[in-house]
Amino acid sequence: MRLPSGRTATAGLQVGNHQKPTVLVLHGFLQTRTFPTVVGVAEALAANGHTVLTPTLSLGISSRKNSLPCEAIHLHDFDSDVDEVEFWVRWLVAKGHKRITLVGHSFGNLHLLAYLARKTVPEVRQSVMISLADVESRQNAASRSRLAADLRARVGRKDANLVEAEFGHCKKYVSTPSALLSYISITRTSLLGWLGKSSVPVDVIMGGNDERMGPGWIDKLSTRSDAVQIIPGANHFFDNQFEFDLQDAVVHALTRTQSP
Amino acid sequence: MSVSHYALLFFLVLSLALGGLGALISLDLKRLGETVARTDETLAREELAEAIALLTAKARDNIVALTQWDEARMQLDNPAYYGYWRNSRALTAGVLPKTLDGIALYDDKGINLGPPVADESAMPRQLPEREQWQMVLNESGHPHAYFFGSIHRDTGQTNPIGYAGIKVDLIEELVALRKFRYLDIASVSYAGGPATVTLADVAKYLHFKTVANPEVRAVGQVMTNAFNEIAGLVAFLSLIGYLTLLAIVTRPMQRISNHIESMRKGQGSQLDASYRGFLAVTELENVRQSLNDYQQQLADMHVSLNDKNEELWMLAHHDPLTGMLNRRAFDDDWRTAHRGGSSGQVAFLLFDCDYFKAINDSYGHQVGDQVLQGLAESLHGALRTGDRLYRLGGDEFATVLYGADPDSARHVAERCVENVVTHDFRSLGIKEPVRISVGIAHTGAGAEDSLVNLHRQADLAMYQAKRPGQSKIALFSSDMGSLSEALVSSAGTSAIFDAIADPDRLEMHYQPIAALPSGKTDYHEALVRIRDGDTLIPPAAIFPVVELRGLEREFDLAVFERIHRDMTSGQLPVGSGISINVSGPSIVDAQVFEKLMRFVPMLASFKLVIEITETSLITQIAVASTNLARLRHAGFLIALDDFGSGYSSLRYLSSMPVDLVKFDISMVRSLEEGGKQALFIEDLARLIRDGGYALVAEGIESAELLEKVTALGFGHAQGWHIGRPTPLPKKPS
Repeated sequence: MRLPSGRTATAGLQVGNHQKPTVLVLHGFLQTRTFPTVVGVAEALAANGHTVLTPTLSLGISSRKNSLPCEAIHLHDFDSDVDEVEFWVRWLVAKGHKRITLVGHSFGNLHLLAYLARKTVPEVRQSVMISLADVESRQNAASRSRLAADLRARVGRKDANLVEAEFGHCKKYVSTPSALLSYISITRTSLLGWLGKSSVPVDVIMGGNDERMGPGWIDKLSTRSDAVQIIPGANHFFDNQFEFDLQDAVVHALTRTQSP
Repeated sequence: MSVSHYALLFFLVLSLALGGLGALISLDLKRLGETVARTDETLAREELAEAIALLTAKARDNIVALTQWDEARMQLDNPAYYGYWRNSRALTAGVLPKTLDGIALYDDKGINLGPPVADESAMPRQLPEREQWQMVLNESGHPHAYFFGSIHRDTGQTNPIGYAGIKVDLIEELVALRKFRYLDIASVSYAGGPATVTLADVAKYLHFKTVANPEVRAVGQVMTNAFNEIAGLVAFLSLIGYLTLLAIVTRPMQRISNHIESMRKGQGSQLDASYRGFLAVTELENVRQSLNDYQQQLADMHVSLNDKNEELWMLAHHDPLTGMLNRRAFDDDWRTAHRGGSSGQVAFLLFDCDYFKAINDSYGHQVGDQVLQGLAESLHGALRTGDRLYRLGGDEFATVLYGADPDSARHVAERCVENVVTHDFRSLGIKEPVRISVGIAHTGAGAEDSLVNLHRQADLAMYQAKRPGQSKIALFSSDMGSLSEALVSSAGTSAIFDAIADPDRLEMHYQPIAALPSGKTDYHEALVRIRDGDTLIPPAAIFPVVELRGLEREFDLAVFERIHRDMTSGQLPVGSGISINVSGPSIVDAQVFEKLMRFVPMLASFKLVIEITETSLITQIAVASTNLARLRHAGFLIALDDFGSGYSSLRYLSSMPVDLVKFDISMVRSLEEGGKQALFIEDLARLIRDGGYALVAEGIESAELLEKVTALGFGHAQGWHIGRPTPLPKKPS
């Protein structure tokens, strides 16, 4: 699909029962729709009769097919990502899907939260956030703050040179100052703020052993989310047998909104 | 050649053979290597082609990866950070191999997104034509392969949004792609081709060397090593074999050979075990044993031969009958003396038994042998100590007295004669006296070749000694030379033999015998000569040869035939008389008797007298008497010739029928000398005349002697005074 940006984006679509909510499952940071966690959830939902759309954010690359490595030149920014989420939501609406649940994994939930924080469409009824990323789990707020400040300074002086910074799970993240700033400026606070302001109920499913969350993150989520489900033992990606637990949890979470 | 030489030759031949084999093996290995090299080159070229194909496939994959790479598409969409991407990201993302020498993205117009670079990573500024999207550029000797591809926005789209290109060092890439079994990748070079060539054609311009085939090399090395080891082992074993052969065969054989050589020269003792080393070879030991046995046999045989030789020498040099040295020993000693050139006086004594043949014939050979033994014993006993007696043959003996003067030699001869006279031969049953005649020849000092003549001279002297009236010992003198001519004259001897064969060669001279006292010729004595061309051979030259050769019977027969022809030819006047001499050996011969009987018809016309020579020994008196009696009965007169000069005159006279007694010349001449001898002869004449025998006097050469014999009552006289022997007148042709 040609995006408004001119890039082309791709998504996978599994048409299901229209009676059931259409689910948009969004991958994590720099991933694609082929990420196993995403695929598993999408398959489960599709098997459960849901229409499932699994887009791959272009991240500035037309028809991106592969995960973008941390070392790649990242010219994409957060807002553009959210714009693509909005594009796909609108595409679903345009396709007549009346009830849309947004399911995200990891950093993809930030995209969903940012979208939900915007003025969303009424078709979006629910969001299930799997392993909602704790942006400060790897970099604390102070370091992020400092980085952000640096980036702002660069932006301020119109320094468009690529910067290499540690960002998230990336030890070396190459991006333009502005693009990186768009991501680094997301804090726990802003994230939780989005969560709290979500216009739709948000179910959060966390792995009990998620290594990408800081201490107290679940508690904080609980204060903001309607439902926070902990699957004990599962990691950030719900590998192994926890995959099925996740799928069950997601399916179960969707049942909450099935009644009109 | 010796065994060692043969062994060495074998060793050399073996070495040459090994060398030749090695050369052949080397040649085969070389050929193998060449074949393998050709094969390797082919395989190397195939490897190169495969590598290029692999390279092409890999590059194609890389191009596909690059063209499908999200980040590449991103650069095409936003090339703001293309330089960073190309330099920092393109080859580090793991999408493309880090070995790429260059990478470039081209916009949809084929323009290189990046700025020009002058290093090895430089890519074409402009995308090349599609047919050159797989090409090789020869860049300063380094061929680089370029690969290009289209970048599409999405799969299935045909319009490219841009292009991508990569560049690899062809050789390095080929090296990294695979291991080459045959291709020496380090030797690969691009040469002879254009600056730009498609990848499909690049192989044509790639030159390379092949990797030495380790297996072939290994095989060759193994074979060479094996051959060297085998050759070395063979050479070592051959050397050991040669040395061993030398030690246990060659040297022992050489010692055996040397021993055989010593044996051949009659040297050396038996071969002991020291001829060999500590190892014994059965065959050589057998040879040694055989040689020793053979040597022992030879030694034994040598001893036996020596003994036999001695025995043989003894037999060869001694007369088995008498035990004396024989003719061979004489010849040997004579030659030795002749070579040695005796400078002192040498006397040669030749002994001959008188009338030995008659004795042998009369008493038999056994008695004859005993006589010879007696003679040998007698002669040997008479010789000086150290003198050697030789039996030369028959009844002839000889001795050589070194350092003896003539008198000494005569003295020895006299002793010999005396010994023979005193030896008791009568015990053998021999009634007649056994006497010897001795001929002495003496060299005198200084005559170098007189030894050569001694035997001949002694022979002549001995013959002279045998003559009637001669001493039994005769010393050679120069006047005996003519006699020697007669004896040894081959011409004379030949004439005699011719005459015997052809009686016409005989020439009878008739000497008148006058009746006394009338002096009238009563008959003639037939005296034989031999006409040999212009030479007339006298009796003195004839009879020694006849007697020497034992031809009395044959000669008498020829004479009888000659006389008979004369008588039948009419040349002898009828009524005359002929006196025919018959030798002693002949009178007992039957053929002679028969021959004489052929004259019987002539008795009617002639007076025939048979004269028996007293000088010849008649051993068969009975036979002789019988024959004479028969002849006398037939009408012949029998006369006893040379009465008084020979053997037992009175015995003949009493034993045989004799009508006439012819006194020998020596006896008649004694009458002239007077003295006791004359008286004896006179008395003897009277005795015989009174005995009824008619007397004939020979040798009347004077009237006085004639008168004397006439006075004595001789009935006939013969001699030059009466008449010389004359031949019959030749018959006119």
